[in-house]
Amino acid sequence: MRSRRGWVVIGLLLLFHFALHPLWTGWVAGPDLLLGGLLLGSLGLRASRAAALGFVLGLLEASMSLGPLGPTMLLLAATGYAGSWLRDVFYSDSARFIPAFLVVGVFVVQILLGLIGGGVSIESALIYSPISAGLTAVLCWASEKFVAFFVA
Amino acid sequence: MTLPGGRRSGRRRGDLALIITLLLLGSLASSLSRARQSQVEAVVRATILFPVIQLHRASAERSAVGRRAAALQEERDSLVTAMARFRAVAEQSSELRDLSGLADPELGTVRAAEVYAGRPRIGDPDVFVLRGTRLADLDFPVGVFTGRGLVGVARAPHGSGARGEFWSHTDFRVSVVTQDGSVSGIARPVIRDEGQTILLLEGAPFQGDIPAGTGLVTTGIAGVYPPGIPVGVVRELASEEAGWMKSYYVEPAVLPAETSVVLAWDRPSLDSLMSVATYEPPPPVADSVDEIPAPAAVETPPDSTGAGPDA
Repeated sequence: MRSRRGWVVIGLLLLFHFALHPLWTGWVAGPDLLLGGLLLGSLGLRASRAAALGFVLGLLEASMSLGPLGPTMLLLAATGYAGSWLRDVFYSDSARFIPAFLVVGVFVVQILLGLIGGGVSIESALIYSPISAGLTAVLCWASEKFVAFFVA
Repeated sequence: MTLPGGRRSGRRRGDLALIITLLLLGSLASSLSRARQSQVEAVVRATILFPVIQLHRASAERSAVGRRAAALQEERDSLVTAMARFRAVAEQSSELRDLSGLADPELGTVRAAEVYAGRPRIGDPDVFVLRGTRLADLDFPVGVFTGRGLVGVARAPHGSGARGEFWSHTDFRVSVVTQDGSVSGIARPVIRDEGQTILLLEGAPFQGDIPAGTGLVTTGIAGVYPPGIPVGVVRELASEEAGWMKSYYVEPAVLPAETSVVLAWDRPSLDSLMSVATYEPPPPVADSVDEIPAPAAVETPPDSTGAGPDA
């Protein structure tokens, strides 16, 4: 995700997240394009910059959701930092690395966000979050394929 | 296992400084009061997120326009019915006030606003922000309602708008009374078995029963909500504490998800309320007939016989 195409995909995911999020707000398990974009971005950035990206996205997300400002910014900053750090630890050339990284990353962060938000139910942890993480990975993959048509 | 080198260590120092800055800023944001956080969010929403919020607004307007027309028609019909029912009572009340020399009641005004509810997951869907003109200078907290009934309470300014809570928020309480004025109590949100949030009326007297279908309105006590705003309809008895009080489940008049345009109460100032409420004691009652003052001369129009008041 160091290429120009990668950043276009990330920009598109974040744009879709903020513009289209009300469409799936009522779903029990919708895609989390914000986390998808952040985790993909963290793969192409140094840890400190990935943390800064998460920090800014946390500010935007908390303002949009009317949520707690500080915890959201800190959690997404930590997510960006951890994503970048884990890339160095688990780096792999395998084509399956990024989808697996997205699924696991989105699942873990959603559980943490749920804990900040007041608690996580068993259904949420065992059913909805894994579905959401899978949907996110699929949409990230689809966005990458879509952008590949237009950006070399 | 990094190799020593000036450039690499300089980069690490920069990274460390950035991380420390982010931690400090995050801690600072966490320590801000809810009101200050709300103002920061308002700035972000009014600048970076403004195009997105406008897009959401346009999309919601477009999708809800047909539904809203039908809802407005229904709301207008119910308001016409209510006005017809209460017009005679209002006129009678005005006449009685004139006769007894009381000033007209100060009811305050309302300010229209658009509602934007919080999102689930990170945000709280039971809180909202209001977008409208001159909302920030309201005397918070103030009630928020529609023609159908009570929506919630606006608690603090949010940029030029306001921030508040729907009735479904855990901190929400409202003093209510049955429409006939016989039973009063406090209504608060409660989550039932189906996961649906409704209202619970607490503090109703044990001796009396409130039949299902009885309407509840705000009492106006404490001045947060205007009096007479519909809150909901009694559904069934919830519990009874032997000899003390009863609780009832109440079907709310307004569902938060269905609200788009609301009215925020701009209540009259306390001074004007106090001036209306000023009590002037009547003249002392005479102990004996001798102390009764002579009636003042009453001017009567001269009649055709030419007899004056002395006649």
